[in-house]
Amino acid sequence: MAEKALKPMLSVVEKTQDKIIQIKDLQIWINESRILNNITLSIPKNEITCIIGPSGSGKSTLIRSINRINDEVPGISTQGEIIFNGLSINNKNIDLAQLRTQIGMVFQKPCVFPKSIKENVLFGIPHLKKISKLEKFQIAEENLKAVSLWKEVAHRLHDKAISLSLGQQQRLCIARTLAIKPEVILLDEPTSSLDPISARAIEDMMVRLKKKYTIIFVTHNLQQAKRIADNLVFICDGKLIEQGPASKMLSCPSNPETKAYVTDEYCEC
Amino acid sequence: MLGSTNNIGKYYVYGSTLISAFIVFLIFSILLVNSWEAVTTIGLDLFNLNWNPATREFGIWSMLFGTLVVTFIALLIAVPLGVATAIFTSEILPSTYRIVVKSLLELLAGIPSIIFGLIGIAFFSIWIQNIFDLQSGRTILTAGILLSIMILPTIITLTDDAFNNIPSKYRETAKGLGLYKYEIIKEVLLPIAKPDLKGAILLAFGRALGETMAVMLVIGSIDKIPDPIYNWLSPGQTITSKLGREIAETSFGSVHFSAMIFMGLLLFIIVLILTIISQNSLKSNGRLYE
Repeated sequence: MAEKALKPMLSVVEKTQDKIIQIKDLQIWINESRILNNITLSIPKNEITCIIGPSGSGKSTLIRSINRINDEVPGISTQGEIIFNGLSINNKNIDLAQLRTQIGMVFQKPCVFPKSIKENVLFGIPHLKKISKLEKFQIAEENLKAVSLWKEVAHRLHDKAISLSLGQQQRLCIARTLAIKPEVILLDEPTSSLDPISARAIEDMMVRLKKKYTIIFVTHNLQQAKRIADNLVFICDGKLIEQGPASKMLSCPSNPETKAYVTDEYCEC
Repeated sequence: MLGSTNNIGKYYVYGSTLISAFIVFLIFSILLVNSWEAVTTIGLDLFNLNWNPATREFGIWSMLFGTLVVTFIALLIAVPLGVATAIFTSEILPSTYRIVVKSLLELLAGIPSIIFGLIGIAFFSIWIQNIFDLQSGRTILTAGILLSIMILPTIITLTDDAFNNIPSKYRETAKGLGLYKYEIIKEVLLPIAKPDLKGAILLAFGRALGETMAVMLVIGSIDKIPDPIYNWLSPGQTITSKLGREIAETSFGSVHFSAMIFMGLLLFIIVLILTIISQNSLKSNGRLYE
């Protein structure tokens, strides 16, 4: 009887500690230089984790190793372990394409394919030929609505995607990533090439999307991190300086270097 | 810099360009003037089947047919082979080896065509003869296969460049969406490289049309359309091989000579049109490269 009563409570405890990704002692070298140095961190599920730090600190390398898109960089070597849903993704036999459908990625510069808007949204969906026309339309509608682009493009789904503005293109890229139904979305400075209004639109969208997805967001814009982050990871010179809930790290960081960065955007490490 | 030196430079560059353009125009008009007699005296009979200078029959149809079929065979073999090779060198081979492999392949382009011809006549046509049990291995097919090897480097180099010009962000984005490598090549890279590919094929087409030496040695030089026309294991004749063999036997100013020049003009016009189309597609806009 006592066990039964405990179980729901335990699951609540587990849920709050639900770490979808755990990184253990990650080290990345490119040729002779060490880009990341003993990174150990965990990413909680259904929250926005922002990775902040000065440029050249290894933020991008870190996020790009989570879906192993860095693999083909010449001269790269990786040590350590990344665990996603209890499985180590550093296993050689893993199906990378499969992994990347579960961990989607949006890049710094919007990159639409030279196809129509609708084709772009549907691009990553496997076995597209087997899907009916109506279903395709529904998928496009659902995902474009999720990124608040539907109203703007509903009447011209067959136009070339390149005709959209950069901000719209980036939202289209996010819709395209959502369409493959990932669990985690990696965003590598997705707003850095956009105007402030488009950037705010994407920030608002992230806050809405976190109910369904785990979001890892690299930014060099501290204000942006303050607006959206649930958790912060501060990286400097390839080292993890501090990680924790955003509220704590922004108000009373335990590390003096974090404090300097959060208050003055200054970093000496 | 002084204004006057600037002007000298300007006229030098202008002048050089004008000379080149003038030479093209000159060649064209010489061909046109010299083929005029054949056009006026023979007229539409130029497109007949029979070529016999003794009876004043100058039908170029079998040469035209030979040219088109040989080129068709060459493209049929070289395009899939060349595009696949270029995909391998640009997308699969690590970039450190790419330069080595590519320059080795480009060496193919540097081999003088007479060498291809000699190998073709000494070995290749013999093989064809033995394999298909023919009286002679000098056939349309032999010429086509030999020609395909000769245009291969053009296709490989231009296609490889086309793939390399595609910004890596497309590959990365597609990879990030969980596409496999062959899907990325098929769904993303090939469609983007398509205009360049078209240009490469047309350029190779033009080169194949104009190739003389190797083709002349292995095609058999019989002015006949094979019977049936898809029997490519019979000897034939192309415009270039006909010109190469017979132009020295004609007397300048005769109708025979004029008919030969007419063939040359025809070839010139076809190659010119192909070049124009291929250049248009090579520089085609609507491309999304930044």
